Amino acid sequence: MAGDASLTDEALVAAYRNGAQWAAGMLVERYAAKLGRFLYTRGAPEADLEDLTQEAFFKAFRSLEGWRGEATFRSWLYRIALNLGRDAWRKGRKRTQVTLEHEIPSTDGNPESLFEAQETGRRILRELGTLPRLQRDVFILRAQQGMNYAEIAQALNTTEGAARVHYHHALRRLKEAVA
Amino acid sequence: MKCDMKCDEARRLMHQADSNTALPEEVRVGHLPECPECAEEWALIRGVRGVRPQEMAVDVQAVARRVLLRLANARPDTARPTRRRMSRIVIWATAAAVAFGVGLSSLRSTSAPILPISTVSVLPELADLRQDELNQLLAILPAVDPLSQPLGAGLSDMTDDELQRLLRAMEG
Repeated sequence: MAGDASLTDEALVAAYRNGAQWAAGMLVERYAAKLGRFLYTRGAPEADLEDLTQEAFFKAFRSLEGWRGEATFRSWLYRIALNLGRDAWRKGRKRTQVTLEHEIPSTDGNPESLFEAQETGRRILRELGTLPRLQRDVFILRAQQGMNYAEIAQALNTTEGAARVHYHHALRRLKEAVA
Repeated sequence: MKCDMKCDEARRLMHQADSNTALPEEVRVGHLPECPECAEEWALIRGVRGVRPQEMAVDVQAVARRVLLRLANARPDTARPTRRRMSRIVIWATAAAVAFGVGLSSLRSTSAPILPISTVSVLPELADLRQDELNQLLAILPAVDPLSQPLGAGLSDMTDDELQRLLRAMEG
Protein backbone atom coordinates (compact mmCIF):
# COMPACT_ATOMS: atom_id res chain seq x y z
CA MET A 1 0.00 0.00 0.00
CA ALA A 2 3.09 2.21 0.07
CA GLY A 3 2.56 5.40 -1.87
CA ASP A 4 -1.23 5.38 -1.69
CA ALA A 5 -2.16 9.05 -1.55
CA SER A 6 -5.65 8.26 -0.31
CA LEU A 7 -4.37 7.01 3.05
CA THR A 8 -5.37 9.26 5.91
CA ASP A 9 -2.82 10.84 8.21
CA GLU A 10 -3.98 8.57 11.01
CA ALA A 11 -3.44 5.48 8.87
CA LEU A 12 0.05 6.68 7.94
CA VAL A 13 0.93 7.39 11.56
CA ALA A 14 -0.28 3.92 12.54
CA ALA A 15 1.79 2.38 9.74
CA TYR A 16 4.87 4.31 10.84
CA ARG A 17 4.39 3.19 14.41
CA ASN A 18 4.38 -0.38 13.11
CA GLY A 19 7.75 0.18 11.49
CA ALA A 20 6.79 1.38 7.98
CA GLN A 21 9.31 4.12 7.19
CA TRP A 22 7.61 4.94 3.89
CA ALA A 23 4.61 6.19 5.86
CA ALA A 24 6.77 8.89 7.46
CA GLY A 25 8.05 9.80 4.00
CA MET A 26 4.51 10.23 2.73
CA LEU A 27 3.58 12.51 5.60
CA VAL A 28 6.65 14.64 4.92
CA GLU A 29 5.72 14.90 1.25
CA ARG A 30 2.16 15.77 2.17
CA TYR A 31 2.98 18.64 4.52
CA ALA A 32 6.56 19.88 4.04
CA ALA A 33 5.82 22.57 1.46
CA LYS A 34 2.75 23.81 3.33
CA LEU A 35 4.61 23.88 6.60
CA GLY A 36 7.48 25.77 4.98
CA ARG A 37 5.08 28.38 3.65
CA PHE A 38 3.41 28.69 7.04
CA LEU A 39 6.76 29.21 8.78
CA TYR A 40 7.74 31.76 6.17
CA THR A 41 4.50 33.71 6.51
CA ARG A 42 4.85 33.50 10.26
CA GLY A 43 8.20 35.27 9.94
CA ALA A 44 10.98 32.68 9.65
CA PRO A 45 13.88 33.65 7.36
CA GLU A 46 13.96 31.85 4.06
CA ALA A 47 17.42 30.44 4.75
CA ASP A 48 16.12 28.60 7.83
CA LEU A 49 12.96 27.13 6.34
CA GLU A 50 14.33 23.78 5.26
CA ASP A 51 16.11 23.14 8.55
CA LEU A 52 13.08 24.19 10.57
CA THR A 53 10.78 22.02 8.49
CA GLN A 54 13.09 19.04 8.79
CA GLU A 55 13.46 19.50 12.54
CA ALA A 56 9.71 19.83 13.04
CA PHE A 57 9.06 16.54 11.24
CA PHE A 58 11.86 14.76 13.04
CA LYS A 59 10.60 15.89 16.43
CA ALA A 60 7.02 15.10 15.53
CA PHE A 61 7.88 11.51 14.59
CA ARG A 62 10.21 11.04 17.53
CA SER A 63 7.61 12.24 20.00
CA LEU A 64 4.67 10.32 18.60
CA GLU A 65 4.40 8.53 21.93
CA GLY A 66 3.11 11.80 23.38
CA TRP A 67 0.70 12.37 20.51
CA ARG A 68 -2.88 12.35 21.68
CA GLY A 69 -5.13 10.59 19.22
CA GLU A 70 -7.81 13.25 19.48
CA ALA A 71 -5.54 15.85 17.85
CA THR A 72 -4.76 15.53 14.16
CA PHE A 73 -1.22 14.78 13.04
CA ARG A 74 -1.19 18.11 11.19
CA SER A 75 -2.09 20.13 14.29
CA TRP A 76 0.53 18.17 16.28
CA LEU A 77 3.15 18.92 13.63
CA TYR A 78 2.32 22.63 13.47
CA ARG A 79 2.38 22.91 17.22
CA ILE A 80 5.91 21.54 17.29
CA ALA A 81 6.91 23.82 14.41
CA LEU A 82 5.56 26.87 16.22
CA ASN A 83 7.57 26.01 19.30
CA LEU A 84 10.69 25.50 17.21
CA GLY A 85 10.21 28.71 15.29
CA ARG A 86 10.24 31.19 18.14
CA ASP A 87 13.85 32.16 17.62
CA ALA A 88 13.46 32.14 13.88
CA TRP A 89 10.66 34.72 13.99
CA ARG A 90 12.99 37.22 15.57
CA LYS A 91 15.61 36.71 12.90
CA GLY A 92 12.91 36.90 10.24
CA ARG A 93 11.91 40.40 11.27
CA LYS A 94 14.97 41.63 9.45
CA ARG A 95 13.58 40.24 6.21
CA THR A 96 13.33 43.00 3.66
CA GLN A 97 12.02 41.23 0.59
CA VAL A 98 9.12 38.86 0.27
CA THR A 99 8.22 36.68 -2.63
CA LEU A 100 4.64 36.39 -3.65
CA GLU A 101 3.23 33.92 -6.05
CA HIS A 102 -0.28 33.23 -7.05
CA GLU A 103 -1.54 29.88 -5.92
CA ILE A 104 -5.31 30.17 -6.20
CA PRO A 105 -6.41 30.02 -9.84
CA SER A 106 -7.26 33.51 -10.97
CA THR A 107 -10.96 34.08 -10.73
CA ASP A 108 -11.19 35.79 -14.08
CA GLY A 109 -7.85 35.27 -15.81
CA ASN A 110 -7.19 38.98 -15.61
CA PRO A 111 -3.52 39.97 -15.02
CA GLU A 112 -4.72 42.98 -13.05
CA SER A 113 -6.50 40.64 -10.70
CA LEU A 114 -3.26 38.72 -10.19
CA PHE A 115 -1.34 41.93 -9.53
CA GLU A 116 -3.98 43.01 -7.02
CA ALA A 117 -3.70 39.71 -5.19
CA GLN A 118 0.09 40.06 -5.01
CA GLU A 119 -0.15 43.62 -3.78
CA THR A 120 -2.74 42.55 -1.22
CA GLY A 121 -0.36 39.78 -0.12
CA ARG A 122 2.43 42.29 0.52
CA ARG A 123 0.18 44.48 2.60
CA ILE A 124 -1.20 41.50 4.49
CA LEU A 125 2.31 40.32 5.32
CA ARG A 126 3.22 43.76 6.66
CA GLU A 127 0.02 43.99 8.69
CA LEU A 128 0.33 40.44 10.06
CA GLY A 129 3.50 41.52 11.81
CA THR A 130 1.53 44.05 13.83
CA LEU A 131 -1.16 41.64 15.05
CA PRO A 132 -1.07 39.96 18.47
CA ARG A 133 0.52 36.53 18.29
CA LEU A 134 -2.63 34.45 18.57
CA GLN A 135 -4.58 36.56 16.07
CA ARG A 136 -1.72 36.22 13.61
CA ASP A 137 -1.33 32.46 14.07
CA VAL A 138 -5.05 31.78 13.90
CA PHE A 139 -5.46 33.87 10.77
CA ILE A 140 -2.61 32.18 8.92
CA LEU A 141 -3.69 28.69 9.94
CA ARG A 142 -7.26 29.39 8.89
CA ALA A 143 -6.90 31.52 5.77
CA GLN A 144 -3.67 30.15 4.32
CA GLN A 145 -3.51 26.59 5.60
CA GLY A 146 -7.25 25.91 5.47
CA MET A 147 -7.42 24.42 8.96
CA ASN A 148 -10.75 24.27 10.75
CA TYR A 149 -11.16 25.80 14.18
CA ALA A 150 -10.84 22.47 15.98
CA GLU A 151 -7.42 21.85 14.42
CA ILE A 152 -6.34 25.42 15.08
CA ALA A 153 -7.33 25.07 18.72
CA GLN A 154 -5.23 21.91 18.98
CA ALA A 155 -2.23 23.46 17.28
CA LEU A 156 -2.30 26.59 19.43
CA ASN A 157 -3.44 24.96 22.65
CA THR A 158 -6.55 27.06 22.91
CA THR A 159 -10.29 26.54 22.47
CA GLU A 160 -12.32 26.53 19.28
CA GLY A 161 -14.33 29.50 20.52
CA ALA A 162 -11.19 31.51 21.25
CA ALA A 163 -9.76 30.61 17.83
CA ARG A 164 -12.95 31.80 16.15
CA VAL A 165 -12.84 35.11 18.02
CA HIS A 166 -9.15 35.63 17.20
CA TYR A 167 -9.84 34.97 13.53
CA HIS A 168 -12.59 37.57 13.38
CA HIS A 169 -10.48 40.17 15.19
CA ALA A 170 -7.61 39.54 12.78
CA LEU A 171 -9.95 39.67 9.81
CA ARG A 172 -11.36 43.02 10.88
CA ARG A 173 -7.92 44.52 11.42
CA LEU A 174 -6.63 43.23 8.10
CA LYS A 175 -9.69 44.46 6.23
CA GLU A 176 -9.16 47.94 7.64
CA ALA A 177 -5.48 47.89 6.79
CA VAL A 178 -5.78 46.49 3.30
CA ALA A 179 -8.92 48.38 2.20
CA MET B 1 -27.29 36.24 -10.84
CA LYS B 2 -29.55 36.03 -7.81
CA CYS B 3 -27.72 34.63 -4.79
CA ASP B 4 -29.46 32.46 -2.22
CA MET B 5 -26.27 31.36 -0.52
CA LYS B 6 -25.66 32.34 3.06
CA CYS B 7 -22.36 33.91 4.11
CA ASP B 8 -21.50 30.98 6.41
CA GLU B 9 -21.72 28.53 3.52
CA ALA B 10 -19.76 30.85 1.23
CA ARG B 11 -17.01 31.19 3.85
CA ARG B 12 -16.85 27.45 4.36
CA LEU B 13 -16.31 26.97 0.63
CA MET B 14 -13.76 29.80 0.47
CA HIS B 15 -11.64 28.16 3.17
CA GLN B 16 -11.95 24.76 1.53
CA ALA B 17 -10.81 26.03 -1.85
CA ASP B 18 -7.13 25.54 -2.59
CA SER B 19 -4.93 24.96 -5.60
CA ASN B 20 -6.67 21.66 -6.26
CA THR B 21 -10.20 22.79 -5.56
CA ALA B 22 -11.14 26.05 -7.21
CA LEU B 23 -13.78 28.26 -5.65
CA PRO B 24 -17.22 27.03 -6.80
CA GLU B 25 -18.91 29.20 -9.40
CA GLU B 26 -21.95 29.75 -7.20
CA VAL B 27 -19.66 31.56 -4.75
CA ARG B 28 -17.42 33.25 -7.29
CA VAL B 29 -20.04 34.72 -9.58
CA GLY B 30 -23.11 34.27 -7.40
CA HIS B 31 -22.28 35.31 -3.85
CA LEU B 32 -19.14 37.42 -3.89
CA PRO B 33 -20.36 40.19 -6.24
CA GLU B 34 -23.39 40.68 -3.98
CA CYS B 35 -21.62 40.46 -0.62
CA PRO B 36 -18.81 42.96 0.00
CA GLU B 37 -17.98 41.39 3.39
CA CYS B 38 -17.27 37.98 1.88
CA ALA B 39 -15.55 39.54 -1.14
CA GLU B 40 -13.11 41.34 1.18
CA GLU B 41 -12.47 38.17 3.13
CA TRP B 42 -11.83 36.26 -0.09
CA ALA B 43 -9.33 38.90 -1.18
CA LEU B 44 -7.47 38.45 2.11
CA ILE B 45 -7.53 34.66 1.81
CA ARG B 46 -6.16 34.83 -1.74
CA GLY B 47 -3.57 37.34 -0.65
CA VAL B 48 -2.20 35.29 2.26
CA ARG B 49 -2.22 32.13 0.16
CA GLY B 50 -0.09 33.92 -2.39
CA VAL B 51 2.62 34.46 0.21
CA ARG B 52 5.31 31.86 -0.26
CA PRO B 53 9.07 31.56 -0.22
CA GLN B 54 11.21 31.06 -3.32
CA GLU B 55 10.39 27.87 -5.17
CA MET B 56 13.33 25.88 -3.86
CA ALA B 57 13.35 27.20 -0.30
CA VAL B 58 11.99 23.88 0.91
CA ASP B 59 13.10 20.89 -1.15
CA VAL B 60 10.46 18.40 -0.10
CA GLN B 61 12.32 15.34 -1.36
CA ALA B 62 15.52 16.39 0.39
CA VAL B 63 13.63 17.04 3.63
CA ALA B 64 11.96 13.62 3.37
CA ARG B 65 15.31 11.90 2.76
CA ARG B 66 17.00 13.61 5.69
CA VAL B 67 14.12 13.04 8.09
CA LEU B 68 14.00 9.34 7.21
CA LEU B 69 17.76 9.03 7.61
CA ARG B 70 17.68 10.69 11.01
CA LEU B 71 14.76 8.53 12.10
CA ALA B 72 16.54 5.39 10.93
CA ASN B 73 19.64 6.33 12.92
CA ALA B 74 17.56 7.19 15.95
CA ARG B 75 15.29 4.18 15.56
CA PRO B 76 16.91 1.86 18.14
CA ASP B 77 16.06 4.32 20.90
CA THR B 78 12.43 4.58 19.92
CA ALA B 79 11.86 1.02 18.77
CA ARG B 80 12.49 -0.57 22.14
CA PRO B 81 11.47 2.06 24.67
CA THR B 82 9.66 -0.38 26.95
CA ARG B 83 12.45 -2.96 26.99
CA ARG B 84 15.05 -0.32 27.75
CA ARG B 85 12.94 1.18 30.50
CA MET B 86 12.26 -2.25 31.99
CA SER B 87 15.94 -3.20 32.08
CA ARG B 88 16.70 0.05 33.85
CA ILE B 89 13.98 -0.61 36.40
CA VAL B 90 15.25 -4.17 36.99
CA ILE B 91 18.80 -2.91 37.54
CA TRP B 92 17.68 -0.26 40.00
CA ALA B 93 15.37 -2.63 41.86
CA THR B 94 18.09 -5.27 42.15
CA ALA B 95 20.65 -2.75 43.30
CA ALA B 96 18.25 -1.35 45.91
CA ALA B 97 17.47 -4.87 47.17
CA VAL B 98 21.17 -5.72 47.42
CA ALA B 99 21.88 -2.48 49.25
CA PHE B 100 19.02 -3.10 51.66
CA GLY B 101 20.16 -6.68 52.29
CA VAL B 102 23.75 -5.67 52.94
CA GLY B 103 22.63 -2.95 55.32
CA LEU B 104 20.31 -5.29 57.18
CA SER B 105 22.93 -8.02 57.55
CA SER B 106 25.42 -5.46 58.86
CA LEU B 107 22.93 -4.35 61.48
CA ARG B 108 22.26 -7.93 62.60
CA SER B 109 25.88 -9.12 62.65
CA THR B 110 27.35 -6.34 64.76
CA SER B 111 26.32 -3.93 67.39
CA ALA B 112 29.27 -1.75 66.53
CA PRO B 113 28.66 1.43 64.55
CA ILE B 114 28.26 0.71 60.84
CA LEU B 115 31.35 1.71 58.95
CA PRO B 116 31.66 2.24 55.24
CA ILE B 117 32.21 -1.04 53.43
CA SER B 118 35.61 0.04 52.24
CA THR B 119 36.86 0.09 55.83
CA VAL B 120 35.20 -3.09 57.10
CA SER B 121 35.69 -5.45 54.20
CA VAL B 122 39.49 -5.55 54.05
CA LEU B 123 40.60 -9.08 53.26
CA PRO B 124 42.95 -10.63 55.84
CA GLU B 125 45.33 -11.65 53.04
CA LEU B 126 45.99 -8.01 52.24
CA ALA B 127 47.39 -7.40 55.68
CA ASP B 128 50.46 -9.48 54.82
CA LEU B 129 51.27 -7.60 51.61
CA ARG B 130 54.15 -5.17 51.40
CA GLN B 131 53.56 -1.56 50.32
CA ASP B 132 54.99 -2.08 46.82
CA GLU B 133 52.80 -5.18 46.36
CA LEU B 134 49.79 -3.19 47.47
CA ASN B 135 50.66 -0.47 44.97
CA GLN B 136 50.90 -3.07 42.19
CA LEU B 137 47.52 -4.45 43.15
CA LEU B 138 45.94 -0.99 43.18
CA ALA B 139 47.39 -0.28 39.76
CA ILE B 140 45.62 -3.25 38.16
CA LEU B 141 42.25 -2.58 39.83
CA PRO B 142 39.64 -0.75 37.69
CA ALA B 143 39.83 3.05 37.93
CA VAL B 144 36.37 3.16 39.51
CA ASP B 145 35.61 0.22 41.72
CA PRO B 146 31.93 0.30 42.63
CA LEU B 147 32.61 -1.87 45.65
CA SER B 148 34.78 0.82 47.12
CA GLN B 149 31.79 3.20 47.08
CA PRO B 150 29.51 3.31 50.14
CA LEU B 151 26.29 1.54 49.20
CA GLY B 152 22.99 3.40 49.28
CA ALA B 153 23.84 7.05 48.96
CA GLY B 154 26.23 6.50 46.03
CA LEU B 155 23.77 4.38 44.05
CA SER B 156 21.77 7.31 42.83
CA ASP B 157 24.88 8.81 41.27
CA MET B 158 25.91 5.63 39.45
CA THR B 159 25.37 5.05 35.76
CA ASP B 160 23.72 1.93 34.38
CA ASP B 161 27.12 0.63 33.43
CA GLU B 162 28.48 1.09 36.94
CA LEU B 163 25.42 -0.58 38.44
CA GLN B 164 25.83 -3.56 36.17
CA ARG B 165 29.50 -3.84 37.13
CA LEU B 166 28.48 -3.66 40.76
CA LEU B 167 25.95 -6.46 40.32
CA ARG B 168 28.46 -8.60 38.43
CA ALA B 169 31.02 -8.05 41.16
CA MET B 170 28.53 -9.05 43.84
CA GLU B 171 27.54 -12.19 41.97
CA GLY B 172 31.03 -13.34 42.08
